Amino acid sequence: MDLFWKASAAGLIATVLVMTLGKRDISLALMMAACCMIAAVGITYLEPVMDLLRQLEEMIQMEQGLLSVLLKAAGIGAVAEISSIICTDGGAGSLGKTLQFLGSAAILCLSVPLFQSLLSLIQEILGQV
Amino acid sequence: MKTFVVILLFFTLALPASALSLEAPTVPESAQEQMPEDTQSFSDGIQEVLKKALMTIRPDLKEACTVSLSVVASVMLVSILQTFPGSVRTTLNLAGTAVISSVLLLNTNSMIRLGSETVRQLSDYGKLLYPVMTAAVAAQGGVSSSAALYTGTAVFDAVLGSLILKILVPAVYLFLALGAAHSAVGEDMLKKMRDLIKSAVSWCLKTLLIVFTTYMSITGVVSGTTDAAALKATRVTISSVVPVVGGILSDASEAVLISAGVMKNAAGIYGILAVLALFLEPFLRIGTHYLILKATAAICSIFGGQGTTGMIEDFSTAMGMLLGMTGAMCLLVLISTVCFMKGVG
Repeated sequence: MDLFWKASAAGLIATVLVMTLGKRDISLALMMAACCMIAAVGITYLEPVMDLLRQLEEMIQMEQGLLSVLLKAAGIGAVAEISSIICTDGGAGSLGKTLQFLGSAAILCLSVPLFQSLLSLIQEILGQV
Repeated sequence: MKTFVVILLFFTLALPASALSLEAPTVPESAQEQMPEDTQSFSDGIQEVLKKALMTIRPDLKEACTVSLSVVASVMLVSILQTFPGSVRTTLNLAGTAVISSVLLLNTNSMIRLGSETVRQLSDYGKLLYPVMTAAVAAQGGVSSSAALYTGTAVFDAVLGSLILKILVPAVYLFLALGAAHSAVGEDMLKKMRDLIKSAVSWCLKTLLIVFTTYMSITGVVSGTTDAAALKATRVTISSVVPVVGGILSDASEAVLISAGVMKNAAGIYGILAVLALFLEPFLRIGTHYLILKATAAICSIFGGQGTTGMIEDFSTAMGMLLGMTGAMCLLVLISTVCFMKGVG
């Protein structure tokens, strides 16, 4: 939990510095650095969760690829959202929204095999009904 | 002398005795293993059927837990982005819904097929059992009550069986589709349509069972009383009109009716045990999946989104509807058998 307190403190300090610093470019760079650092700390805390999910995947012998697709989609979503928020804070709102669109498109592209397998399952069930 | 012989012959024909052998139809092969060895004792038979059914649910418990863990893992991944407000979260919810639907649909489909097959087997077995019980009641002297009971049971069996297999089971699939769509898109209209289907299924089953039990109660009382009165009148007539041997003949006819009643009860007990053997194992298997899905929904509600948790609850509700359908069919056959066993009076 030490990392959590340090990351929270660093975030607050970065906010104060951004407010007090006059130069916009340095404030933006500082904000990006703070966000990346806090996101890295967040990923560190998610590592045991990932290990648990890998253990669950082995235990339940789930169809290969289902959980990993979701994991990649969650990663893509997190990166897209954080990037979008930084762009919006930096005054580039349109860039932020475009990044969100990019993230959604990437997740949909990744999910195409999922939808295809769901569709074939539904076709099989409709055939039985 | 001639008159006496003629009268004696007439009253012999009036005796509702039958030389038919009254055996309940053999239970189908799928339930042979569940049948108890001793079908004479009702309480022992039920205990044995229940014990055998409970021992078969272990593989289903393992399968349901496996499915539950995969769903929990998927919901955990999807919940990572719950704090972010953007459109990416919606897209990730969509992907999560697709994964959870795939995992749950495969499992639920096999349970729906099991439930449908159980309803079909119960309905078919009932169609074989009712004529035997009708003959048994008629042999006991309940001529009008046997005909009335048979008409009612045959009609309601056919109606309930067709309703479940042709309308309610497809309605369950539609319910699941609407639930998944509502989870993915969040449209309120889909939620209302889903709730409408659930209410319609529940209403259909309850109404049909209420109408059936009302019909059987009234029929049993009215026709049973008629038959009892007719039997009593015949016995009194035999004992008073036939000289010398009238009383003996009356007692002999009562003995014949009691024997017919014993055979009817034996056939009825076997029929009830056969119905329970057909019903209990699938019911417990579907019930296991239902309970585990309910627990999964409760666990996922702690960290998951409303959409995904709602969809898991919809799948458990679908299992609940299946339990209702199989239970209704079993109850219909059991009540019919018990009404036949009650017989005359």
